[in-house]
Amino acid sequence: MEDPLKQLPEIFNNGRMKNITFKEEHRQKVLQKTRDLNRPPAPKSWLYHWFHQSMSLALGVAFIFIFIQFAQSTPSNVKQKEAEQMVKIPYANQAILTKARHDMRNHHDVTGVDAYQRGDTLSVHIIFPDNLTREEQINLTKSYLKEVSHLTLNEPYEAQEYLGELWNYVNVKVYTAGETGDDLLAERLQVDFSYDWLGSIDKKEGILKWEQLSDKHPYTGTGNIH
Amino acid sequence: MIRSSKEQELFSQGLSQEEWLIQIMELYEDKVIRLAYTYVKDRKLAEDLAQEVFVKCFVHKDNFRSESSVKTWVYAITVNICKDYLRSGWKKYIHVIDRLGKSKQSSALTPELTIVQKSEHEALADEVLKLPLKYREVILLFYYKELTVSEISQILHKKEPTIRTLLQRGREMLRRKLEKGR
Repeated sequence: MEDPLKQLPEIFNNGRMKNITFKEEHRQKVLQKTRDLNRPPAPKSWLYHWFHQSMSLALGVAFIFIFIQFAQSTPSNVKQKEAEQMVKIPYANQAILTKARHDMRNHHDVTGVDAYQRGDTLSVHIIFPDNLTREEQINLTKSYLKEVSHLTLNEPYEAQEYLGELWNYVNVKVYTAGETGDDLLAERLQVDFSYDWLGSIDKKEGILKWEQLSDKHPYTGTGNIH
Repeated sequence: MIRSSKEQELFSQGLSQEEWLIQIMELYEDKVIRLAYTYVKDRKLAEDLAQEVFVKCFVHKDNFRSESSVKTWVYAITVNICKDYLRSGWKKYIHVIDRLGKSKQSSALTPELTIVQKSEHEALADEVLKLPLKYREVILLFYYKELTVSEISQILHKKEPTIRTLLQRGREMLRRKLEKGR
């Protein structure tokens, strides 16, 4: 028996495929498509050029702006930061310390006050006459710190903004000037007692907190200076 | 390799690109559109895909390698385009809509009546077109397009023993279906 599949060309071509033919319109469509492929691209309109150039310019400007912003926000190196701090800290404190020293010497019984700042530590050296009791000396030291605090907090706007950078630690050394015949100041000074104070500035509350850290002769005077 | 005189003319003469395209269309237009139909089973689609085949032939004319015949080359492009279409998501969408439409139409004619009305030849053509794609394409290329196993293996990029196996299985599947239909 003959394989019916061998009749497939006849079956299809005379049956359902009879009317499936490639017509002239299909041929023309193919030719048109191939012509379109070979055609050079149409010149762009002036609107396209204008839009393209505007977009390029806008993107360029935006890129430069972002680059500048980024460059500005990049943290400077440590040395540069330290140098800026060194410039900023002494300036803010020098006037305060001078004023405080002036007030202490004029209104209180203090022989000499010397204060300086290195980094974030404020060192204070106070010389009292030897007739003052230790309690009076501590009270006067507190008064000095209060004075410095008030002046610090009354600093103008810019200084207020950088309060935290002024100083963090206060180191106080108290000396007593003895009544000896020797004129040399160094020999007259006796380190009566020395204690360290930790001072910090709370920017939010606007207060300066301080705390006595060490004392060769223990003293428990801690508190806030408003 | 044996080539027909017309095929030889295609690549031997100094034809312009457009003349070459017209000649290749004259040679294969009906064969291509009918082969495309066996894949997509839709006349309009087959027309569109056949156009795409000739555009692709034109674009890839320089890629034609003389170790195969022009016919094999054109059929391979046709098969690839049809399979690409069948794989595409768009086809799946159309297919669902098409099936919905057909399910409404089929209610008018009972399956029994449909079978009676069909001649044996039509039934055979129907069953061939209903075969799964991997068997259908091999059966059609072998019996309908009358290509050799070697040519089919070139077109489908499959080994000759694989083509023979697919042919064998396709024939068996078809025989079972036709017997069941009787």
